[in-house]
Amino acid sequence: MHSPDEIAIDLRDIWVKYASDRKRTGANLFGTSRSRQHAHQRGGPATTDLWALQGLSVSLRKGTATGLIGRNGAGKSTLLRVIAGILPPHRGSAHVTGRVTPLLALSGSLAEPLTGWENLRRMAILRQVPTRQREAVIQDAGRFSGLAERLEDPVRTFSSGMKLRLAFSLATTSEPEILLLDEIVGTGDKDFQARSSKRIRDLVSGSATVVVASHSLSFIEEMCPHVLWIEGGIPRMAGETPNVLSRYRESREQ
Amino acid sequence: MDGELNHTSSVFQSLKQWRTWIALAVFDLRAQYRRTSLGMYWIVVATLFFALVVGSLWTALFDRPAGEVIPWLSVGGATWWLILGVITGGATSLTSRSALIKTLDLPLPGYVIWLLARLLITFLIAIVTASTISWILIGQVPQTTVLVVPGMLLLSAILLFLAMLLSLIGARYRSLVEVLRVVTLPLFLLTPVIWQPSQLGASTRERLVELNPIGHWIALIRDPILGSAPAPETWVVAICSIALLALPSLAVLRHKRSEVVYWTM
Repeated sequence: MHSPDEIAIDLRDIWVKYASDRKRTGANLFGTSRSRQHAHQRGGPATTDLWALQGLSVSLRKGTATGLIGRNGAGKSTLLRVIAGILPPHRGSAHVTGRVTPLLALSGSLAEPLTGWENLRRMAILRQVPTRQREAVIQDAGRFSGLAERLEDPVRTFSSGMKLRLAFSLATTSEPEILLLDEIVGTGDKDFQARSSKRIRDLVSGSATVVVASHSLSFIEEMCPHVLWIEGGIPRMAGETPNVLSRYRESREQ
Repeated sequence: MDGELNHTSSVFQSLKQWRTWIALAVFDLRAQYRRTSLGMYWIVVATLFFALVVGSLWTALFDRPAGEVIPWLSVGGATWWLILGVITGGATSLTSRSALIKTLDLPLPGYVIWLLARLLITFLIAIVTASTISWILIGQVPQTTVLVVPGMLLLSAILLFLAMLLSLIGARYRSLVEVLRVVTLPLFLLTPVIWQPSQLGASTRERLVELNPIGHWIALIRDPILGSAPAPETWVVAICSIALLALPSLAVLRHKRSEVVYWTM
């Protein structure tokens, strides 16, 4: 058992559902989705809604890096959104201790016609970076991104890797206590991958809690000593990375 | 931003962070007008074009003095475009930002205030242009102009809760956008923007003008700029409008707070 002081993220019996379009449009009135059957079997509510998380419980200690793996639609992004406070769970309780910085997607967070510097300023406002620290954070993020010569150019001229650098730099410069990364890490050129890995390690050694959802198992292997594998919104396995990844790889080969 | 907010922060907590929404609105406008030849001066051009071209046409068609028609059209038109922006933009203010809502824990009312801030900045430029044309044609700046300040405060409150209500209904029921597309043109024609109440018969005037709240909302701005204080019933309609729009929107936000974010997806 971890002492309560050590726990950064404590989720108990979390259920999250999305309304199905079939329900909204009234089509498929007599259909029964797999998610519905599954939820019902597990004692959950039987509806035509799509249950993305079905009674998931997990506790993560402060200052740890945890990998989140699972197939597409397993519920990884939904879980990160619950931790970030973006999605209130329909059932269960979520206790998160610390300032959360989610880096979940690039779409919507960048304004393409604006320059790199303008986007850093805009993102700092969107991410609620305190006014007193804002300018220092923006300058640090600009330096870390390694895009100095391009920051005066509009972001529409940036490659997707450059956009990732910009967003990652700002999110990780604002000293997050809990950093949530979804899929978008582990990409980009080798140099930035190495620098972003080092930054994540520095954050973890500085007692930040990091949760990384990724299909890049090598990235997870490198960054995270612990892994949570979820399928169909239910934890399939949790534990030390080599053990979980070996079972996960076996399941994919079957 | 000092003092963190999250999705469930209230309208009033979000309003306290007004600097944030204005800063984001300025970024929106910079992005919108970047690479255009005149930038935000396009707002001035659009206001001048509407006032002078449509004003000249109306002057000729209805045989009325330009000094009466053009000020009425330009100030009323600028205020109507603000209200129209709130009606059409309000209905999509949450759904159009769903990518951001899914990735950041910003307060949901903030997205509506952000939209309103952008529309109010545009309106400010348009109304200064329209007022300048009007005062040149009238030959003076009327003393009643000072009443624009309380008028603007009331109109901003009306539009905040109108946008809030439409954003919630628009997120829950996607047909709202189509409904609004159908009703906005008739609404425009029924509102005294391109016609004046004095052009109608007494009974029609009573029904169309006095029962149409949008006519009163426009009068809050147009009347003082053109030299008359808004009628007592205009102030009453404005205050009642705030109450009637605020009650349902605050009630939905309070009781359906945890569901609203799912509606936007």
